[in-house]
Amino acid sequence: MKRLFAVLLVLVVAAAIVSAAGAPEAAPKADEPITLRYWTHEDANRQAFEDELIAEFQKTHPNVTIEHTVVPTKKRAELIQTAFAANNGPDIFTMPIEDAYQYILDGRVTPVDYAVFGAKDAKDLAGQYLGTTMSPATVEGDIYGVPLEITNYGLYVNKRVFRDAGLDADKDYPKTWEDLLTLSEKICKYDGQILTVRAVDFNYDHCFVQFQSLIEQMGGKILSDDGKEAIVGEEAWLRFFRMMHEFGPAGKNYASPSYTYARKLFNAANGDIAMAFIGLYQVPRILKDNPEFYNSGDWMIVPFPKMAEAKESDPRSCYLSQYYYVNAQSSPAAQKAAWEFLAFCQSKPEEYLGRGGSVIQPRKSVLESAVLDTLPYSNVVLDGLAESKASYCEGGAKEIEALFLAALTDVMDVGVSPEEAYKTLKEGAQAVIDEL
Amino acid sequence: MRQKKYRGIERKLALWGWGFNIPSLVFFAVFSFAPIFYAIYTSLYDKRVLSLKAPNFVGLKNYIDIFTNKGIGFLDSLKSSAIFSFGAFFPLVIFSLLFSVLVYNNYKASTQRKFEILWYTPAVISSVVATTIWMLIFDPRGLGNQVVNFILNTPGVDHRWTSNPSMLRFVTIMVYFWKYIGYYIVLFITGLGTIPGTLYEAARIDGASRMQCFRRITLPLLKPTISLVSVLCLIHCLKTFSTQYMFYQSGAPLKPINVISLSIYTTGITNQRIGRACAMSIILFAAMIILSIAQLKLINADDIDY
Amino acid sequence: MSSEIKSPVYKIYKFLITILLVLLVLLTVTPLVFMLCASFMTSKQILAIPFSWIPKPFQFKNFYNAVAGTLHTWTFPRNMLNSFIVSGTVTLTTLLLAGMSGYGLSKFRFKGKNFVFITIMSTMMIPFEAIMIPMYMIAQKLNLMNSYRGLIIPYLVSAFGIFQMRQYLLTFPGEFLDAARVDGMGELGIFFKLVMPNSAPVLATLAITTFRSQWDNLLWPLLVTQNAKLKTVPLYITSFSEEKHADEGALMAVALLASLPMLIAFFALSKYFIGGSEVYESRKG
Repeated sequence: MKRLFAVLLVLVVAAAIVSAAGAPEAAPKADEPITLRYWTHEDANRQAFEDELIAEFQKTHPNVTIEHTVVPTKKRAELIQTAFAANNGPDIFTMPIEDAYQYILDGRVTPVDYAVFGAKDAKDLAGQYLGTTMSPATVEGDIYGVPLEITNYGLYVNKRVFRDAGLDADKDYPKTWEDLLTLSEKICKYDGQILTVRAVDFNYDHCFVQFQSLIEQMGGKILSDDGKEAIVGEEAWLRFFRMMHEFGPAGKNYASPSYTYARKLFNAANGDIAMAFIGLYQVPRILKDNPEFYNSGDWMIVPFPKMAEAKESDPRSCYLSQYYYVNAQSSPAAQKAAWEFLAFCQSKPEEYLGRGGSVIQPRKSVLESAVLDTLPYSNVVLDGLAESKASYCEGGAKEIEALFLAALTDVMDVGVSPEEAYKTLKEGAQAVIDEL
Repeated sequence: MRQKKYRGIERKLALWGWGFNIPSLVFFAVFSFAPIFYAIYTSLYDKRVLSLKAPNFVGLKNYIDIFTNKGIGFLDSLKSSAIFSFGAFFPLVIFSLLFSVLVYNNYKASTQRKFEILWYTPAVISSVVATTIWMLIFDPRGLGNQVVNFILNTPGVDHRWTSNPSMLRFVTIMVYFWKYIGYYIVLFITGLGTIPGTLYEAARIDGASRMQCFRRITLPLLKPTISLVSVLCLIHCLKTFSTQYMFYQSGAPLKPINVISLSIYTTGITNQRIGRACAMSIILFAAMIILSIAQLKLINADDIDY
Repeated sequence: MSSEIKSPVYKIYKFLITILLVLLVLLTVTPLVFMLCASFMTSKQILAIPFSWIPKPFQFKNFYNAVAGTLHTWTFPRNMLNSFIVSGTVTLTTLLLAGMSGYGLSKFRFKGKNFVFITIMSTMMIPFEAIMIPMYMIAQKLNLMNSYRGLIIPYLVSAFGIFQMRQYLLTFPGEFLDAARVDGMGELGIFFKLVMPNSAPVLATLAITTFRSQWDNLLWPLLVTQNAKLKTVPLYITSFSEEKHADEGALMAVALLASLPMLIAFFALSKYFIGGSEVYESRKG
């Protein structure tokens, strides 16, 4: 009995430790040295550039120290989430808006300190940026983050593969999604059932950005305007799934999620992929990975295709957006320092576009930047950005995107019928929306 | 007089028994029991990971939901886990026993070492890398198709290793088997070493056949190791995560390989419903305890007499 | 096993067994040979149809890229060192603590023994994802973040290790212990001088499995270390494999290098766990 009691005592003590854990730190006073923890995902060039910015900022703000931590992209969500769950989140972090949305809803991040940016209010701040690029981070009138990057896809074309198929890329590049199908037929080469040369393949891990615009051009929607119904427009969705079915191994066998992602293969220019959907950041990477290909002039970027039936006013594509956020549990002094640092970073969009990772930070000044001249075809991508809208990123976005991907994989690879996949997707998405 | 002495020694030994266990128990109290209690506690609430508000107490609702709400897909996860575990458990235990006995009995120590090292090397490769290697092999253009097509003389056929659900299940089991067979063989060989060679010699002299040696000497005396391997193997199989996760991340469909731990991961991390995720974990935990106790009782290894 | 009559039946039998064993070797080894060859190839060659096993030419550049890292930051050696320190320390503590617990559970009788055993076993039955957050909070509270001790202390001993030691020590001859007690040896003396030295096979096996599982630990170091100087090898491999373009050749090179320490350790320790311990060999039954 005594031993049992001793064991229980140990357990109780341990439980007490756990339950007492997790109280946020006490706030430091105003002039005390401030340490900001800044966590971001991996990008070699941007990391080097931001280290420079940090050094510069620390010189002008001697009481501030910034700890710059880089985390693997795929693990970022769980790492930051666990830290926040323990009330120990970083002071500044970057995250795609779909992942960060819940942080905003739960009050874990603070609205932007408009004064630091020289703006009167949210509307004023949004006006400093292109188009509606601040709207994904706007919830109930307040803006919660400043942009790290806005990525819309351009269609990169490898002219050599077109030539191999007897086509002229400059004339024959696809303008519509239907063109993609016809081109695939001409370009794809096989060894039996195995694709050795693909015309194009899609970014399945960002399927909203990849496919949302074309579904909407066909008349479908991810969420109804009143926010109550998910996966609206049965006819459009069925047409979409039928088209993807045609692409997949169960149809004409042009593309499949089980092959290596096209954007990973494009730079190597091994003749195995003709086109890939990638953001502007890829351009300097082609130069770095394969200078011979870069300088040969055998590649180009063309606008994101639209459906043949799309109207002029329909958005051409969707963009994904990542922002910098500031932890709501940091002390007021730390928050102010954080926003000051971010405002400083945001004043350098040209460098971010150039050596700082080639990310588009949509400050209005970026359109006149001289850096654009050094990035071939940047005008194509930026024009596309002007015609784009944010991909769906509000409540339940991640779960619905996962369901969407499952439906796509089912239709393309597993051989489920488009009707059934649509039904499963609609039920699952509706359950997510209902639970919100 | 005698009785008191016995009680004294017994008591002293019993105290030592506890004493040897105290350091581990203290460690587990802080780093295992406390978190497990936290998980049980959380499973009774509808807790969202990021929410700062106090979570609602929902009692057993999480548990009821995961079994009744088809949309959550927990029952499918149970099915996937069961298929995977059975598919991996029996081959692993049976073949590791078989191979370890065959190697131990028929080769000298240096050859045994060579075999063991070769069989163990897959376990040494990190999971990220192991899956990358297999993804390259099972890429439609990779070795998998080429080798099978060569053997079956069916050029150009894509066997859809990672896209067809049954193939995908088979592939995950195969990768898992490949990775861990060496680990269990090593455990068995260690166990085989505890059986004194003299017993075999004596039996041989008495004219026993190999089969009789195996059934009458090896198997019974190997019981502690057999129960070790079978309990560990079942727990490992039920807990499997990284194999399935990596395949899913590389574009394979989720449903056929959505094992319980993967489901817990998506529920807790992606959907941020940590209360529900804890409920799933507790169910898995309970299942493992029951199955382990059952196995230990079945094999009944604790009394070994020479 | 040495006094075998080489009858013809036995020869056939041995031939068949050899085939079977070699088949398993082939299954196990082929992907590794693939990894070895691929580490010298470019990505184009790796996915070529038909696949040729000989790289032409030998891409030593892969290994350079592997060690230098994507930004040529040369963190790989430091990561290896960290992994060594952490895995090595955890292995030593596990050998000690698991040995003690296994011994206590197998060779002693006390009330609640089975309860203690099941309780310890239960600690390995909970998925890490469910206890990730409370463990993180505890580590934070005990000031373990961003330090070597944060990587080591939560893994001082594992239930797997205790289970292994217990099962092995169940077969340890009890009469040796009694004899030692009669001779006046204290309990601790018996443990350190008699039991442990004679458990070389299981200790070697446990050392290898513990070292391997710590070496492979990705999630906990990810959560606990932000300082780049403390990162371990799995984190390096993850970053490497996340490259936006596919450089499978260099990744295979990283894999090869990352696995070498483990392979060497396994080779070195293997002579301990093959053939059994003297205590068993010497007993006359």
